[in-house]
Amino acid sequence: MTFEEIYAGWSPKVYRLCMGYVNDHDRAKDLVQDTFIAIWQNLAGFRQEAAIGTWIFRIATNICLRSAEKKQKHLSSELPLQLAETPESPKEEKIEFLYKCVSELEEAERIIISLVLEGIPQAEIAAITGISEGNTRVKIHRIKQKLTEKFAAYENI
Amino acid sequence: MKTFEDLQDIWQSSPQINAIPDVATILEEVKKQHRKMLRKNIMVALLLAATAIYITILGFNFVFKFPTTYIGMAIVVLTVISGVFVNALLSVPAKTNGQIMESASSYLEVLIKYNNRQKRLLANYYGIYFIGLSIGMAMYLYEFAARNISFGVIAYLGTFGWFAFSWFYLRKQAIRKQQAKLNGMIEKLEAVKTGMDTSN
Repeated sequence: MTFEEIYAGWSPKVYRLCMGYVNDHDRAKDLVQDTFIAIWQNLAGFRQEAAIGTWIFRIATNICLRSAEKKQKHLSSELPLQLAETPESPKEEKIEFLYKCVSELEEAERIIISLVLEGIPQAEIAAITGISEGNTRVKIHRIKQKLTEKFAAYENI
Repeated sequence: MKTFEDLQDIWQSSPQINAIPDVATILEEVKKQHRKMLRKNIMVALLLAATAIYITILGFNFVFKFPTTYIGMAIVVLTVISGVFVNALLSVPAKTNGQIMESASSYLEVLIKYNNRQKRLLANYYGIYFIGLSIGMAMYLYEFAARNISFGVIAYLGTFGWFAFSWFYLRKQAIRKQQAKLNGMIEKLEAVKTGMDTSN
């Protein structure tokens, strides 16, 4: 698999994970970029015994977690960017709201629920996060409920 | 009322293609980072070479009688160079690229350990830096002081007065500021780690 193929197949998924984490288009783009730079640098070291999806999401997750170290740089530009974004259609509005709901959860919850929304199996989520499978199952159940309630509250407005 | 599956559909229908940078941009960025790294290495090599040339020129052009003068000069220069390196080490975010492929939970541990190590480095290094500079300057000035007592008194008083001010005021302030930043980072990472490990 070439880097270009990996990028074409996985960049939208990585972008969604990053958007759920930061809810900011520009920061999400930066995180996607950092993730794929790390993938490019480590591609030779990728061992086939792990699924490529697990490998890519591990890197993307760690890049998101590490972003706290760089966050300070972006704070000053955060507000004007947020104000400038106005969703164009009801569908986009829903997507934007879903990102907002996810980003309001705790850091670990954001990562887990983004992976669930992506349709990643529980065992794989456990392998990405390093949480035991039992614990992952409990967490997923709780976060799903939390997110559905948040979203329902929005729809009732 | 939307079910979770509806939310999944909304999620997977995003993003618009133009929201993501294209692959050429990513590859260009990779090249840019390589160039930046290379430039940084060249700069470090140039800095070391310039220092070596400077010391050599000083050594040949000014003939000092006491070996302490040369030793003092070398200690001061080495301390300053080490200061440049340690400062660079403290200002960069975690260089933990090797562990980026580990699970999130172990990666968080790596980041916490890294920040704690930075804290220890910070606490130990400032002491060594000032002691290095003081010993170096004391040895360097010894020859001049031996030649001219009044010059020696003024030079020693001025130099060590300044060091005392730096040690008791500037050093404490610098350590406090950087420690606060690192503590904030460690606290945040530990909170994420707890969020990941607890089952509630």
